[in-house]
Amino acid sequence: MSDISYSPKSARALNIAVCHHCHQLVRGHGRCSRCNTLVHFRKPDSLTRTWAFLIAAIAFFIPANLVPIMNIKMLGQGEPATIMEGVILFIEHGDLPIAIVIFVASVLVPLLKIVALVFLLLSVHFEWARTARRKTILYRIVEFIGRWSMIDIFVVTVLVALVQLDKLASIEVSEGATAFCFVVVLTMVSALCFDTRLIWDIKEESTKGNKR
Amino acid sequence: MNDNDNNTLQQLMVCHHCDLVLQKPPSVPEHHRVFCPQCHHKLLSHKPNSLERTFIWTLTALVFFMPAIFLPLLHLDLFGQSPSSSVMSGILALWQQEFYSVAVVVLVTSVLAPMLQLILLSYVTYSLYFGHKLPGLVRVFKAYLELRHWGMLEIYLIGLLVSVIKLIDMAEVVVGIGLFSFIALLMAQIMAVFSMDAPLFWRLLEQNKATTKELPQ
Repeated sequence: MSDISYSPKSARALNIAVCHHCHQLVRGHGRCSRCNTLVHFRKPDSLTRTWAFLIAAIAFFIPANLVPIMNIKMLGQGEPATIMEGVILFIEHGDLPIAIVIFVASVLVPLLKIVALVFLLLSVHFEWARTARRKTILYRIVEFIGRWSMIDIFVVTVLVALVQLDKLASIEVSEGATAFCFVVVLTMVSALCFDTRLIWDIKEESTKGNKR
Repeated sequence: MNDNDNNTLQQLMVCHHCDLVLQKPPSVPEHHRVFCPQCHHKLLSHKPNSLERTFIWTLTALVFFMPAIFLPLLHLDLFGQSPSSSVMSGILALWQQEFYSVAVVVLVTSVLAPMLQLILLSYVTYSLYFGHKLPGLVRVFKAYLELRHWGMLEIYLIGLLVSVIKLIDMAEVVVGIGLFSFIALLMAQIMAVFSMDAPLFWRLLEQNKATTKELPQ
């Protein structure tokens, strides 16, 4: 038994599946005896689902950055603002740290997240077996920081509720906010559908191949 | 044979990021965490008095929930008027401007998911702590775990700070009592999540299930 635990074999090779809710180990697949979840060796249709949500996210990414997310009206004059314009406004006001926070959270993070997920998916498709650990860490970073892009949506929410002074000053939401919201949610769902164990399966296959 | 196999499985654990099979340590020493040697995923961490602490912090968070959501977070002093904004009024403003999908996403991430998480977690911890057998515990705990990605109170707070900085040039911004409740809610919620020891909870839930099954006989 102790040699099982130190073998570099994957659990699937030993016919052990892990319940994704309670992490109980199950022989073969079926239902988890503890929490009754349907247990799979790998997340079902992981690649197809990840691609589907990711492509949808990419489609929304373009309007999210080009269409204004809010419309600031001061004394009757409208001034629609996209996310980048908001960042530039902060730089002009000398609030560089805030400009960086907004730029990173709203532009860089969604973009890098999409690029990272495309890279991870391609690496599984084309069976790039190297740097499996680094790819897993990349996935964990994507999973962790993805939610932080919601900052801009919350900023719009607060401003819209606060600045409603009829003709003097008012802030209205604009279509870009909807697109932006979808980008964040879709990339989050896409990341949740991805199964990092697929990366390790390729590594296992390739080391097996080398031994032969 | 089957029992033997079950015993073997009981002593193992598997990293769910890279599928590596590992020997389960009997306990995690104080201030220690167990990482997967292959992919560095955090597998276990030491969480003392998990049940008591989770219970207290979820209750604390629930106390602050309503004031944090409904009381004004910020007041503005602009052209002699002083509008204010709460979490709920922001969602209503989005809804009134017919941005329904944005309103729903904000409602879910800043109100519904955190609230449901706290209610579900307090239900489970109450039952486990006092030994009261409540129905559907396993399902409730599973629902709690499903929701963990969608509660975004900490991000809302950062969004709030950014809004203050945006507004500070054009008007005087005054902090409302809602903001203090919001920060208290956030702190308590983070503490509750950090003290929650999922493997322990699953073990207790399993014992709980085993004893309820014996009762009718």
